[in-house]
Amino acid sequence: MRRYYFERTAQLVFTVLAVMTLTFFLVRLLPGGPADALRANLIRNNPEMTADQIDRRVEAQLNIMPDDPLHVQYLTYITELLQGDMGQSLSQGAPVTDVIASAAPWTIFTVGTAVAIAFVIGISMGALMAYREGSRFDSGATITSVLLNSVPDYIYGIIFLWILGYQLDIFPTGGRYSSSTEPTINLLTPIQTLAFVGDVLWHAALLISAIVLVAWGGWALGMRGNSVQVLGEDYLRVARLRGLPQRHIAFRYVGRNAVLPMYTSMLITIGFLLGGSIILEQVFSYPGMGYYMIEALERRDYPLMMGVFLVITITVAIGVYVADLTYGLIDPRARVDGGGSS
Amino acid sequence: MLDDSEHETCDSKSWRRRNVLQAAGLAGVTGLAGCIGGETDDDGDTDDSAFVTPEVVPPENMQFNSYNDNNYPWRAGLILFDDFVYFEKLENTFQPGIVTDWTVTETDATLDVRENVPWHDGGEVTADDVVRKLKIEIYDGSNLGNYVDVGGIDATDDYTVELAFDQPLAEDMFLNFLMEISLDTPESHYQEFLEDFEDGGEGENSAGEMLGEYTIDEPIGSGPFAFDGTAEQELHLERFDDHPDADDINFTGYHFRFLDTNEARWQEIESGQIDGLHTVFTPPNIVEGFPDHIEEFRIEANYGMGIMWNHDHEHFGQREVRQAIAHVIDREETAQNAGPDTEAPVGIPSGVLSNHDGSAEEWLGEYADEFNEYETDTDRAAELLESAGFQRDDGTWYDENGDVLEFQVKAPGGYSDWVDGIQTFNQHLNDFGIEAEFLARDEAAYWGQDIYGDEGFDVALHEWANVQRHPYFSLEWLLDSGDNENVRNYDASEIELPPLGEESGSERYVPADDLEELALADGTDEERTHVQRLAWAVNQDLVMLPIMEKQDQSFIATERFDAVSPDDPDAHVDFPTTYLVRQGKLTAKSE
Repeated sequence: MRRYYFERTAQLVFTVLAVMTLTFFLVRLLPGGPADALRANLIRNNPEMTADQIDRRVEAQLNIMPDDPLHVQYLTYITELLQGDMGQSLSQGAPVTDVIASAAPWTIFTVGTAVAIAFVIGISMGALMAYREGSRFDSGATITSVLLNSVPDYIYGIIFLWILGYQLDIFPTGGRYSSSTEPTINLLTPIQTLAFVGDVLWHAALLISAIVLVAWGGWALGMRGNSVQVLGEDYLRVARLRGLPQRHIAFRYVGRNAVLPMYTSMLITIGFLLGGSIILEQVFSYPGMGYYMIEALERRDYPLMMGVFLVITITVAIGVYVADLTYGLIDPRARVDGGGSS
Repeated sequence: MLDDSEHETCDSKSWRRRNVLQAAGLAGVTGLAGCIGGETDDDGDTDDSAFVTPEVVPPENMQFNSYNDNNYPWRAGLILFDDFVYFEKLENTFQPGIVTDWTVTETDATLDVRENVPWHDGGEVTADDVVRKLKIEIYDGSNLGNYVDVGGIDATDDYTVELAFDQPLAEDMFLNFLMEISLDTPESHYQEFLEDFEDGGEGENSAGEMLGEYTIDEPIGSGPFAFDGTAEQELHLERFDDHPDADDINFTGYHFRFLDTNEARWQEIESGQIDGLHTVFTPPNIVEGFPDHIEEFRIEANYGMGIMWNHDHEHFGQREVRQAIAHVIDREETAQNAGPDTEAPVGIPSGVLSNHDGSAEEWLGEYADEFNEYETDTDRAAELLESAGFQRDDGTWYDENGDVLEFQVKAPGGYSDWVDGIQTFNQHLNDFGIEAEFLARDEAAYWGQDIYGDEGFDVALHEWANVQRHPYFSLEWLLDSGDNENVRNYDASEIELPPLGEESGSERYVPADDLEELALADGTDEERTHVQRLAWAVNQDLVMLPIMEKQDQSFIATERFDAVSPDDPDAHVDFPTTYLVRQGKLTAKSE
């Protein structure tokens, strides 16, 4: 068992290091570097600016850019990263950790909430569909979930924004909370705190809904398939013959066994959604990780790009790692069988 | 001067704000109904009386040093800071700003500084502030430095600045240099940089920050609206009542809302959530969908897309090939497809602006008819190519070596109007038998590597003028700028051409000499003569092929605000959403 944990931990470290190394060199293969991106930005925003002025501005930025050979930059980056320093963002003029720390919580909040809601809806619907296998409800729900799951979430985002934001004026059309709301998290002022939290949820509602609308279908179909399989197992017939209550069978026997295989994929999904919510954040003018990812790409801001990619990579890797380590706890069969290799 | 303690205060404030935001983001677990409501200030004004427009920088990231391009909200800068002078593009006149009057002679210029204009920290704008800004501009690389030495700029009293010219400069030229300058360098933030420049440094303050990387969290402005604060998604400016223009402004706030995409900006103004748009390219179908109360203001941008050749290329180094391509491309159709309402086709490719109202031709005077209009004429194009040694076989043109005449046209993929234009004229070229292919490039790669880097190009797109209206600037840009040597590989030191207005013959043109004379000439026949000679050089040799000229679009929603008609001369100053406010011509509707 110890060896299993050790191997999984080593795999986690190796995966993160490998992705980080690959990313470090790949982003530098993009056509144009930070100086080129800065020049492009200056030309676009200041058509009147002379070549001398542009050169001067670019030079001012170059002063804070490393011009060491790539392998030296890499070693420096790794060394600094191990000390918790992700470097200085070239486009934001602030440490990358600060930039990410200000944006990541918002993305984690929206994506995390959406995944949780979609998961609950998905497995509930999947279980119901399995119990009513072959019924009109099952067929309808299967078609609906396939359809909803096939459309990208930003399409729903645009539709929601248009109808519920601009036409019906029910939800705000952008931002993380109202400009008139003071961000307050303080137990001594519960009303202001609750008002703020409510405002945050109100602003994130459409974004979260767009993710939920896509994601629940996948969970539902997965849960339905697993449940149908479990429902055919012999031990369920035995349970019924023993006269166990249906509710007990549904939750303890069917639900628990069917949901287990989805546990791992849910944890991985959170990581993928962190990266995948970029367009949605654009649609809703929601300054989370997506905004900085696009800024970093456009400005060839290597440190910020690396920072954002790292957060996503580490989230996915940790998701898999946690799933690996804890799967045995929730499914004793895996612990017995997989002590060494599962 | 900003001392260390002030720096600390700013930093700690922004740190706290970030921390609150982090905590707030993490805490979104349960919900209540949303809370919205109007803000009421001490004067009883509500935020309903604020004019709201978009901004592309998130408020929490904004910084207000215009010499640092990172996160500088230039739209907000238009109302936070006053310009030295403003250029009215309908009647081509300069309007006073911080500089209220000027006297320009062959040897010097005297500027009168507007009195009783306050900085937002309480001090008064004086001649010393104008001197500081001019000097920093020159140290930063402004072309004004070609004519004025920093040592020759002095404040002779509190409201008078004198500049001694190194080289004589006509009034119009001089004012063109001033019009892009805003008074945004208060002593407390910028004096250290200037002193370092004057000591021979590169512009560094006592904290070791370079001018180009320095950031300002809370700006000290000189305009009619002052920094009030940033809220989620919005930058709030409030009317600065001590500013002399404030008497003409009947609303208390000017807000900038973070809206990252054009689509979001269009939606917000259409649904009445914002009141104006500064220079947002808006295609006709979107404009047509706007409600009637949204007024469109178009202003000449004084630049436009042109075709740039690499003159070192075996084909494009030949004048006949450039002229042949000019005869194949239908500029009118190209402009129509690129922006039917906002792009005007260049009438006569001469490097002279003002194709929207046809006044470009006025500069050419009696020679206008002699200039080559490069009307679509494929027979003439074929003649020119044949004279350059090309031949057509089965509808395709081949060079002397038997190679197909083919090339890639590079352009930044994100410039949608250029992309539409390029696809149109490539079609014209392909129909004629020249195989032109569009290569869309990422902006950074395009400007950094293709145009100003080592990657290079054969044919690419570039602006053929650079915002300043007087022909001197566009002709200088085309015939005597560093881009000729570094980018276009075009030798304009001496050009052999037919004499002005004639079809044949030979005359030596030295653009640099004509430009030097033109910089001095002021409203005289001599001025026109030099413009015509330079324009002739562009027209005949086609250093670039100007295709179209752009108009900027701004919009004002008149549901809550009243604005003058787009025909008002003041609506033709950059930009209506900010200049009309100063003039009392954009006002909040009374209840």
